Amino acid sequence: MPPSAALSDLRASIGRRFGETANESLGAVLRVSGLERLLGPGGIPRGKLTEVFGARSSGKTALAFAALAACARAGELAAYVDCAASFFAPAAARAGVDVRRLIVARPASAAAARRCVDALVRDGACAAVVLDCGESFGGELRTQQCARLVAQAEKSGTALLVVSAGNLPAAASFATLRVRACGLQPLWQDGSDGGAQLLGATATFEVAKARMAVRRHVAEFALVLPDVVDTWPLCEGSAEAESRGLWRGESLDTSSEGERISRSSGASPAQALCRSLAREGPRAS
Amino acid sequence: MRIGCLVLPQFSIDVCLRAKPSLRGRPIAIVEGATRRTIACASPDASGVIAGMTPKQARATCPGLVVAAREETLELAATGELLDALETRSPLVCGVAPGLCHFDAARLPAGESAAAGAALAIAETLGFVHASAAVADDAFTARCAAMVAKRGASVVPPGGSAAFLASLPVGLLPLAPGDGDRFELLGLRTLGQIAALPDGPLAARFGERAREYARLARGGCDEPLLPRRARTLHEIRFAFDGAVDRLETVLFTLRGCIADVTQRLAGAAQVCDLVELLLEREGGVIESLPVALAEPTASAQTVFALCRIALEARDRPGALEAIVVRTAPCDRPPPQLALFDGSRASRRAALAATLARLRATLDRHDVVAVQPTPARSRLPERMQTATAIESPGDLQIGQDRHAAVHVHGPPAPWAPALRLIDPPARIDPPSARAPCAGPFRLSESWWERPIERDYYQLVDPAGSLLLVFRDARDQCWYVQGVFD
Repeated sequence: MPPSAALSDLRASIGRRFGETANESLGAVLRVSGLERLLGPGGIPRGKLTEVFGARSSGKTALAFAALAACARAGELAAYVDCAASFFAPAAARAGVDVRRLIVARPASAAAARRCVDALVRDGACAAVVLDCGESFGGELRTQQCARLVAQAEKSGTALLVVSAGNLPAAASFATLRVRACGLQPLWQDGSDGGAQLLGATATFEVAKARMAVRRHVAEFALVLPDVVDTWPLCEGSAEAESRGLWRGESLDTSSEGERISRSSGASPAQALCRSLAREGPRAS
Repeated sequence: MRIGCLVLPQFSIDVCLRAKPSLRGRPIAIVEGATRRTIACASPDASGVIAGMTPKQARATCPGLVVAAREETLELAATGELLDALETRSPLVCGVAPGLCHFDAARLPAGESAAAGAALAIAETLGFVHASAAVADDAFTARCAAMVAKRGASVVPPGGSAAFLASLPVGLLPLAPGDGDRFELLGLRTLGQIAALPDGPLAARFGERAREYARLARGGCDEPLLPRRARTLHEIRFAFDGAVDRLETVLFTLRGCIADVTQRLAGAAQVCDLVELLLEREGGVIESLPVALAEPTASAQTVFALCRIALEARDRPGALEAIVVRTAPCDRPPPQLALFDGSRASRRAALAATLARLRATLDRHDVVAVQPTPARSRLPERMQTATAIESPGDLQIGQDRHAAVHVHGPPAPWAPALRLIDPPARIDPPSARAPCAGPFRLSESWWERPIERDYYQLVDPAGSLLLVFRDARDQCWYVQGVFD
């Protein structure tokens, strides 16, 4: 029996015996909804370092937000060390992150970021700490510093998630799990007047290094923009947008572009994307 | 009991003039509030300026007006000075509010009139030229007498409070919003009229607070004189034999100093929320290093850990000749342990320690909670607000875990996360053949700095999915976000 199947059986038996919440309270992993397709029955290990790396616009931040959303669902605190000063709260909230329980730290330098992560993982107050290195952090995390962070995370049981461009050798070396974000594939839908609208994107992730998952395993995920995308992609929800007169381009622009958008689709973009993916099915190798 | 009251109606302005004597003789208005957009008070020569105006309105009303921000720290220091000086005349003094002091005027050897006169003299000596003082049976009557007197001293004879108050306007009462208008509608304009009404019907019409109004109007205020709380400063200084530049040596010394200071705090059942390290260098240069604690504590271990982080966070410690550890007990009580929820208490303690470490490492404005504020603006750079996290109470950690799961419902689908680029970076105009969606026109702030943008979601030649816009004013293209 493969290890993943054995683990599934074990989880199922624990769930039958002690209830479904018992698995989550085991605390060994941070169970991210949907990530089991990539990592099997496991998740993002707590007390370990996980690195999500990839080029610009490859989907790595979406994975980090999904991990933070998992923390929010468990009622846990989380922290986001924003070295690139690019954290966008509406996008995080839309991904399910509880921004009321999220500490956002904005260190001015790589050294300050390191100390900041050290402070965050030391006491175990946060279930997950995301270190978003941006693109200019390379070479600033040395081996001994990384070892210290990992030791502290292990002691406190904090899931340390490093989001990088793949230029941190120390993090790569100490990571228990490395996931490569391979890229986003935008999904456009043609409108009736020839214009296009963005439904969302598909993101492909590959397990680059793992102790509990299958290496080189690849899975594709649908990243859905909300229904309001056909007017303005940054609002939180359609109800709010509608209440503010933002629905279907009415107050954005009365030009022909706005009308084009409003005529373009019968179904919502999210529904269309889900239908499209359902037809194709998730691709995993 | 005879209570004296010293009222300084122009307290904020006098404090401002003490700090900036060059403004003397010019009309001054003081602004307060978080945005500093409301006039709180104005000097008598600022004709037409009233509280509640905006600075722009005030300047339009009174040309040449100087608008200064209220300085709470200076006001606090001035109040302390005033109370110190009043203590030389009365055994019991009490600062009630900025510009309002009470003192015990009973059994003073020189008599009540002399006590009030002495209080006025003290105020004038300290630079508060607009002052009035009064002595009465209770604090409210003394305050009213001082406010009515405008300038100089007055004494309300013992037992004469009700008679004195009878003719004074209702507006002197600490009225709840709207009560003044309701009294006016009912034709109740003096305190004597309020005092004459029976309590029951008054309370039935105005609520229970009306009983307090009636009691004050009859001269029955029972507000006690609270003794001043002595503010003890715990400080210890350690001078090295020579200049020390090794951090380990400094930390070893620091540990002993902190243990001593926290022992003093604990011995007095006190806690502190701020420790100040003074690093004395060669040549008499003193560097101050404040270390803020997220929650009040007297734990030597916690304080030392935070001070060590603060010292280690500095790039160059340099050679030190002496080190001073200084702290003052804070007014907040020490946190109590939750009796029936140990896990929540420990989480809060862990979070407090984490926040304290972060604050020792980063600037306070760099540790924030960021809230989306889509109702505020549709521009991405204005769609979120960052608030500094000061204490564990700023994060919602009190909620039950299972309730949190229930509240959030099913997991949200994964969504492309937008990474904000602020300020937007200018780019070359994209190719006409680049896959894109848009434009989404945003027009805002036409009343101050008009913004006209056409937003697009597009894929750049490198394959990145971007949020870009074309500024309609300069026709340039900018990238404001990356979907990642």
